[in-house]
Amino acid sequence: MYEKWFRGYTTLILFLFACAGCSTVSVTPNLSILNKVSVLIKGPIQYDGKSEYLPRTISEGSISEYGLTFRFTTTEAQERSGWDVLALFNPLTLFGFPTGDLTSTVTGRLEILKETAIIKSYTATCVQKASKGIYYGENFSQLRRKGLLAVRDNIETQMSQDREFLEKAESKAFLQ
Amino acid sequence: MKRTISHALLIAILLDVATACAPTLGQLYKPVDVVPRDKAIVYIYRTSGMGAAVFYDVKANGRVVTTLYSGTYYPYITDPGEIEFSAKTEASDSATIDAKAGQAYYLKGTVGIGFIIGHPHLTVVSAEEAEKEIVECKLLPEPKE
Repeated sequence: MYEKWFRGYTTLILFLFACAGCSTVSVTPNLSILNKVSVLIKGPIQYDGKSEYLPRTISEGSISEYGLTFRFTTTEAQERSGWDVLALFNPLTLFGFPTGDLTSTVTGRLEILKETAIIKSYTATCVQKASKGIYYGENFSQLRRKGLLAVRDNIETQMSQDREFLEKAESKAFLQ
Repeated sequence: MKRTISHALLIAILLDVATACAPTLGQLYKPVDVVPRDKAIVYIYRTSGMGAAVFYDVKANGRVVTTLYSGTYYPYITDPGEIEFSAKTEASDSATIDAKAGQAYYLKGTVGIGFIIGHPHLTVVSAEEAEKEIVECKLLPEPKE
């Protein structure tokens, strides 16, 4: 009787640990990362963040005769949910049972402008959810960095799939 | 019975020590009137709640900006750029803000459960959320050099 109860209890605890201790990352649109990234288009870039988060498919250059410029912006949102009061009375907390969740949402948007008109834009969003316990857990600085890099990689893939358009955009044919 | 009394006494002493360590606080929250145009402002605040006796230093890129107590706030005026705020008790936590000139940001500190002492938690929150909570916080003095 007790053995059956103990087995059931252990299974439930292990299941809860497995579910609660998970961390998830989802990037939209869902695309694979490029193995090799090359510059596809050059022009003046409006961006005042860290250069490592900028898509490597664009490169700073002087304004061309076709007048193309780039604007890259990022936004972030952080959310922390905790069940500290519950965790305080949960003996499993001492064994690493999660005490809360962090959710980080990072969005990046790259716009290609001809003078002031947007001729093309690329957007990517990365949502990460990570559990935190008293012995482990990531922080928002780490999640933010991972999110910004994931967004950069995703926009690079979108641009490489759009290579034909970008080549045209730099040619005279696009203006006619 | 004796044990209960001694536990209660110990808690009272600990709370007393924590209160004695707290600095003299200023007025309730009031936004900073003038922030230089080329600077950003980060309101670092912590509402009253769980772990009231726990306090911790908040660092900006490794330099101590303030010591955050329950029910307090500190307006940190800074140059624009990426700033990593961190705090540590028995565990550490951090949150990064990419500060832009002329903008205001809100960094919320809380205390979560820990093994021996509560863990510090830092979260960047929206102005909308922060303005509802920060009104009950009192101004912390300038940190001693």
